[in-house]
Amino acid sequence: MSSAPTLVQIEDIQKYFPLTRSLTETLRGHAKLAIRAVDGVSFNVNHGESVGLIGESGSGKTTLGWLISRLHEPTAGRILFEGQDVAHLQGTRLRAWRRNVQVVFQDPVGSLDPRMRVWEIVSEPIRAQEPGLGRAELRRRVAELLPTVGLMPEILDQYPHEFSGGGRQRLSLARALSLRPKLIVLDEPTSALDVAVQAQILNRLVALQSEFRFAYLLITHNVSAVKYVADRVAVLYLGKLAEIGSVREVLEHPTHPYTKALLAALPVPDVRRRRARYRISGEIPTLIRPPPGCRFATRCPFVIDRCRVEEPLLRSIGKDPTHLAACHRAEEVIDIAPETLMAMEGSGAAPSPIAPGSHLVGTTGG
Amino acid sequence: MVTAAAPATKAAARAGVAARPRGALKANVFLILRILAANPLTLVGFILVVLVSLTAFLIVAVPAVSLLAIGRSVSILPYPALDVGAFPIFQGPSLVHLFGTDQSGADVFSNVMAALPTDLGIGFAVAGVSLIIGSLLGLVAGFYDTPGTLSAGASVAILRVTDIFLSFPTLVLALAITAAWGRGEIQSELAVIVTWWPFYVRLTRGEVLSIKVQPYVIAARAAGVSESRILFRHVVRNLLEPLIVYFSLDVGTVIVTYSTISYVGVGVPPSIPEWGNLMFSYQDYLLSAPWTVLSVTAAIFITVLAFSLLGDGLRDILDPRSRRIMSTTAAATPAAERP
Amino acid sequence: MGETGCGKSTLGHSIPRLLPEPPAKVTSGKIVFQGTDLLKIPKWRMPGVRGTGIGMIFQEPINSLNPAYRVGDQIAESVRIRKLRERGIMPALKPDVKGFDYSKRELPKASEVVTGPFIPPNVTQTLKTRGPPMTKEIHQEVLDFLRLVRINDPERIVNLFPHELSGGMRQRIMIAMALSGKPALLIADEPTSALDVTIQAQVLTLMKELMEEVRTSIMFISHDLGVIAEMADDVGVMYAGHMVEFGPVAEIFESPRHPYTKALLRSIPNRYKDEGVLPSLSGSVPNLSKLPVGCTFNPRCPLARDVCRVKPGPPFALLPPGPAGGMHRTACFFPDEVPSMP
Repeated sequence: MSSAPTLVQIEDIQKYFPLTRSLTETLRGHAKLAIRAVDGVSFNVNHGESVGLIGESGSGKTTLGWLISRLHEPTAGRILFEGQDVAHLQGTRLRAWRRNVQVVFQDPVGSLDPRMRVWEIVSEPIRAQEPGLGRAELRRRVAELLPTVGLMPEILDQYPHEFSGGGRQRLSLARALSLRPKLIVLDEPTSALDVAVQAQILNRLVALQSEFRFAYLLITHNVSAVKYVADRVAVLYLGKLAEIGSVREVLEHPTHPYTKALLAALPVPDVRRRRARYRISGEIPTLIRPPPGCRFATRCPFVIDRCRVEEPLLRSIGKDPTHLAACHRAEEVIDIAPETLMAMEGSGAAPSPIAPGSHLVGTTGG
Repeated sequence: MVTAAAPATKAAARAGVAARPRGALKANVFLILRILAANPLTLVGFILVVLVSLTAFLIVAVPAVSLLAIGRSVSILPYPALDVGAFPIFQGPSLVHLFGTDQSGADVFSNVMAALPTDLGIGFAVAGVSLIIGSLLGLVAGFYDTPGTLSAGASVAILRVTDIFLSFPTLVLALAITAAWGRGEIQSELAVIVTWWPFYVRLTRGEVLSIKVQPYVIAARAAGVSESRILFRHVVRNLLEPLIVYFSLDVGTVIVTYSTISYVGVGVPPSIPEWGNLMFSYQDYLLSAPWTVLSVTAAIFITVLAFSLLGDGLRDILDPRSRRIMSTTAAATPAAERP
Repeated sequence: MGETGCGKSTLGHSIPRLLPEPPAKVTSGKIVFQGTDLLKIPKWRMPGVRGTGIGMIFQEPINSLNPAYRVGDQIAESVRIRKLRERGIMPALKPDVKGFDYSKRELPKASEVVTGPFIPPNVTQTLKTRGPPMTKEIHQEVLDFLRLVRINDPERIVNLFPHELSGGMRQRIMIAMALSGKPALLIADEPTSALDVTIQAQVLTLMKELMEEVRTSIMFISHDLGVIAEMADDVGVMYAGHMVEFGPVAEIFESPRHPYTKALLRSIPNRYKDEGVLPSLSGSVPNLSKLPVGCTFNPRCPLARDVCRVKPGPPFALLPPGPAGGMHRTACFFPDEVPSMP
């Protein structure tokens, strides 16, 4: 996969959402604050590859997905799509470029217009990109498309509310496929679905990719979905990449303490592993004033003074040169399995349910 | 329905692709009737609105048509309206005079009915013009508000002007305007419209603001749909339902407000039968001849009630999601996964 | 546990009769709580059961805390009601029923809990005083309950409004509030589904420690099989409004005896894509207004045969005790074929 040509290359991309100051704050000369949703992220997605983006709410994963699909304009940085910088495209050129990247959203109810019939919904991208097609032609193309997502063509005239959550997500998928894009951004595509339905959709995603060879950017907090769909995984924490590498490397040999913590925190449906659990203390800090140095320093069990001052850079760790992690102590912690972290918890400072000064965790989206 | 087991036959597929199944319209009408039947109050409102509108139409149309057809004006009203001295005064309700007669000897039933087209027309006209002005301004103010653009400036201007109008009490402002412009049907209607449209701006803008952040609008944008098409295909389409519902409730409110203005004496001239006017002329006889006042009250009450009931019911009929509950169609199950 | 629309939340809410009646109506059956059939007592007496008898924790802590009151005042309300009931000033379910006495619990062994046992002194004290409770003693208990849910600086937290807290903190407050009524049964409806993974782990660990410390019975409703495996002693699996299997957690997860349970467990993604297709359950959950005749699972079941498609469906039958012991029931005609199910 790594030998495939690069489709999207993201270089040091940033997205800040400025906060409005109140009049008193302006008069007192408070600095302009911004939510630093994405703060200097670089990675690439190759042709036909699927990259998983894992992170908790506030990690900036959704913002990153919106930046790559250009629903947001980046504050700084470049988005090279097949060599062309699309970071600041506008107007007609932006709309024409959109046929390359399509998005599947999380909310299966909200992402389909309740007053449109199936064929209108699915054909919307076609109509936007190829104006002038007749109704019969559009219906024919939608009818051809529906079986690829596992739906029957008879449903053309139904409304979205007549479908279950899984069926709606298939419609979203069909809409995204309709233009044969080069990249599909999947924003939490299965998190609103039940386990049994989730497996159907994930199978469908993998089958479609091997058939049509498009690239996926799978944004989710669901590690098991990423494990099945992704070739490579990037772990985001507070708007920065903590770790990136092939899916097997990252999930089986997590290096960054946050990745370890995240994997250890997953509830596993295995009754024999009930006690072997580790939790990291503290809440996710706010994105308005992220901690200096390493973003994870406030919660990390391995924190040293250097972490609180100097920001760690992504660097290659271990045998695999494509496995990168941003941790000063990566070499020291690389061999510590997530499960064994439990013992370390007691030796550290008393666990506090809230990190100092961070009780005001804003709802900055996720 | 689509089931996991049923293979899609080519014929069925073609039938599905070619067009909407024939009889879809019939099925829709059937569905609406079923919804009406399931909500008896909506049905009552619906029937009342049809009856009231039909009566108003006939009252206006029959004399005009008969004049053309047979050269003689025939009215469906039993007696001419506001006919002073036609009958003995203050007769109680009887079969001859359903609502009795008033202080001038005119038949109250004919008076009340003759006022129906006027009041209904005013209701529709005022609410309709307000709807058009207000919703267009609200659409602009809600949809184009990206900070730093020219249209955002226009949006802010619209909102501030709306706020100024909203800060006046509706009735007082309308009275003041009619008093300034002079008594007359057009003037008084314009006065009500001037105070009425800001509500539609508020309503429309609020709806637009909530619709335009819906994931389906974002999805359309991500698909490359232009902003103007998003505005019409998604925003306006989802806006119609709350506007129609509000409009149908509003017709009744306008009728009440307008009657108030006429009652105070600045609406239509007293020579035109209108419920506010009638109320004014009957107000002294509430105790001595209660049928006069009560007839007008009943007319206003029934008309306003009809539109309220209909408005509530329309909400159910217009929303495809609520049709689901009524419709017997099962949820479309996705076809089984084929490996 | 169960999927969306299987009726697990409805079941949970019907126990303290929190469903809006009408339209909801419990048409048959019994809800026996501490020897009283809750369906037989009049609706106006139900508040006497809630809080001190049955406590609840909901999924969305932002919606279940009143945004207009400080969190301290909301917990204080719950403490005050319990105290009034304990002293017989306000009616409880039965006049003599006290709040669940936490002081009678066995002390947990220090090694069992990660952060060590922490029972504040006043929580276990049964106050003998008569008359309405004083503001000061209520305030003291509020602080104690906040400490019980591992909030280190309760004096500051009591003065905050819900929107000033993070999701994990709000859920701790909800737990403290539910526990402050000292309920004998705590119904937790998806308490961690809205939380992030690392925060969920904190709340789950807290709840597990509290289960050891306060010994309240917990009915834990969740769609997350991992959470259930972690928290439960016994598991009930629901499908389309029916309980299809019930048994000790180890048996349910390791040797399920209902085809649905088995299919559900298998459909959890746990492989890479080069390891083959995920086993998935075909079809979708039936419409609850048009359930299949016979066993509700028969249209999707690989074991289904004619007997499954006629009335009545399979009985909820007791299985012979397995290695883990305990009661294991399943609503399937062919429980012995489930282990070898394709």
